[in-house]
Amino acid sequence: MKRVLLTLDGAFVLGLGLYMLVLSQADAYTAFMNPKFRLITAAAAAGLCIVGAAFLIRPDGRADRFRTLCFGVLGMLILHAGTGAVSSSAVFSTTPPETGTIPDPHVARNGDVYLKSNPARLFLLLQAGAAPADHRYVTRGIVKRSAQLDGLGRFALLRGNMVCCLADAIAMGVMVAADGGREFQDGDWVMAFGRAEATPAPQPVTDLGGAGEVPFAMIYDRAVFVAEALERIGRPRFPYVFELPQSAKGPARLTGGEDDY
Amino acid sequence: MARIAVSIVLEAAPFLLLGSLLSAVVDRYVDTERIARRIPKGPLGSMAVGLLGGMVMPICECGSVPLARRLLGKGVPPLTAITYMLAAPVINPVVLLSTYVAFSGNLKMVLARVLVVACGAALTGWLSSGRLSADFVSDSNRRTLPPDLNHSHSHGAHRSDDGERGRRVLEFLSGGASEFLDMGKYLVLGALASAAFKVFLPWQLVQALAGNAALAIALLMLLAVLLCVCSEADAFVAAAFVYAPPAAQLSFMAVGAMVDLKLVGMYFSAFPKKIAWTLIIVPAVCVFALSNLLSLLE
Repeated sequence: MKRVLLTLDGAFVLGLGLYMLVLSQADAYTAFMNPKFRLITAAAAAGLCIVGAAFLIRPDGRADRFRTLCFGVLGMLILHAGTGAVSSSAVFSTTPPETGTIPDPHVARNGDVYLKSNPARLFLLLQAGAAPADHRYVTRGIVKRSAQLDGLGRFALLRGNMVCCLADAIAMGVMVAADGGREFQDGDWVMAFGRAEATPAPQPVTDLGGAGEVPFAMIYDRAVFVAEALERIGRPRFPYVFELPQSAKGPARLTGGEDDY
Repeated sequence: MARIAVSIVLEAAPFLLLGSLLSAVVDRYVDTERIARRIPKGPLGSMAVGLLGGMVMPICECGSVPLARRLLGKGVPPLTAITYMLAAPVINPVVLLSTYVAFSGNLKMVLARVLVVACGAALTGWLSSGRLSADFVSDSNRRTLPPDLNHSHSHGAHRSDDGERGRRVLEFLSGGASEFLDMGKYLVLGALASAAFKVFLPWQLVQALAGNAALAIALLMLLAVLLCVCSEADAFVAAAFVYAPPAAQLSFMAVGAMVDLKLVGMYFSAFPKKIAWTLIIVPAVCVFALSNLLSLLE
């Protein structure tokens, strides 16, 4: 029995390593982790494969049924977790989205040109003072309503932003003011065209709650995104974005391929 | 929920493996006895070395537990090792920078976080040092590592025979896997519990209760324990609690890196029960008290 349990333990470590290795090379990685950690995950995966194999050849220590059970549960969780919202055809893509060809950062509409920027990136640009009022933006996100925002005649447009992993993702975005904004409900995906205008004083919204799968949300409270047009859209292929604050000071850079705005 | 739990494991596994392997490296190749002799014997000096160690040798909270246990077993004073274990995940440039950015350049918040974590870590280290006998730590080490790893220096570590060397490498790697498995089971349990809390917690209630400062501090501390957010990202999560006072946001960031669900399991696995309780209760009380004090000064 001891030998069986130790063999299972070694197999679980090796299996976890192999899973992490495959995942680190797949699009589906972005459903779990910020792609900036791909290399760390791949390196750890290689390490787990090596130590797991060593443990299988020469098991060490005592057998522990509870330990084996815990790793068995992890195996089942991995099987159940699947690939998240990322489309299955992209799971084993050899080119991670963030390293793909950078698409045109602009969208033309009725003769006007709009810079693509997801709501989280817009938040960070505004925070860094890098979103001039004369710049037009196109941004896509989830609608979130609250009593405070309804009172102001606005709604929040948010996007789940993974700083490290899905567990600590934060829905970040902006307040949107638009004619016809009331027709959109919580959870609707919307593409907004417009520009950001600073407010005379901060307007903190304290009753926002979470958005979608993300229980934490924050919106920039010193500006409002005045939308010239709103379009209902479907859920993007990559619903999460991976904006890091330091990138807000750099040039317009899309980190998640075509979907990252 | 499964995806959240798996993402926590994916995030923490590299650091847990790193800590497990560093622990084995320290055991075999680092002359910690010599280092231990150079650590100041006085409490202030020992604390300072533990805190400084966190700045120059940062490691995630999952990796710091096996490493600290090994350092203790190799004769590093408990005050230094415990202070290092609790402070290293927070008092390092990466985490402090992320705190600075998450709070829009609020340097006071960064300094307050350093202060609260340093005080909590040092106080816990000081209170643990009297209770932690080196013998007990050594015993616990022997239970998880093969005999050859515990006595590498006295049983022919330098034999030139290739077969012997291969066997030793295999044992070293297998020991790393064993340590990973021992700590990893708590990581899996913590990740599962944390994902469940994240999905099922009534967030509107949390928001409603966060109006009162002292209650908000206690509530966000409890959330930090339940949610197991990585210290690199917790500042952004704390900043998202806009409805809570800054002192409560501070308490969330300060306690989470020292006490959370996965760490609780690891503490009870790595240390005697009394020490494990000390590692849980003292940082929590210290963070609660200091956060309340700072909220009065706001």
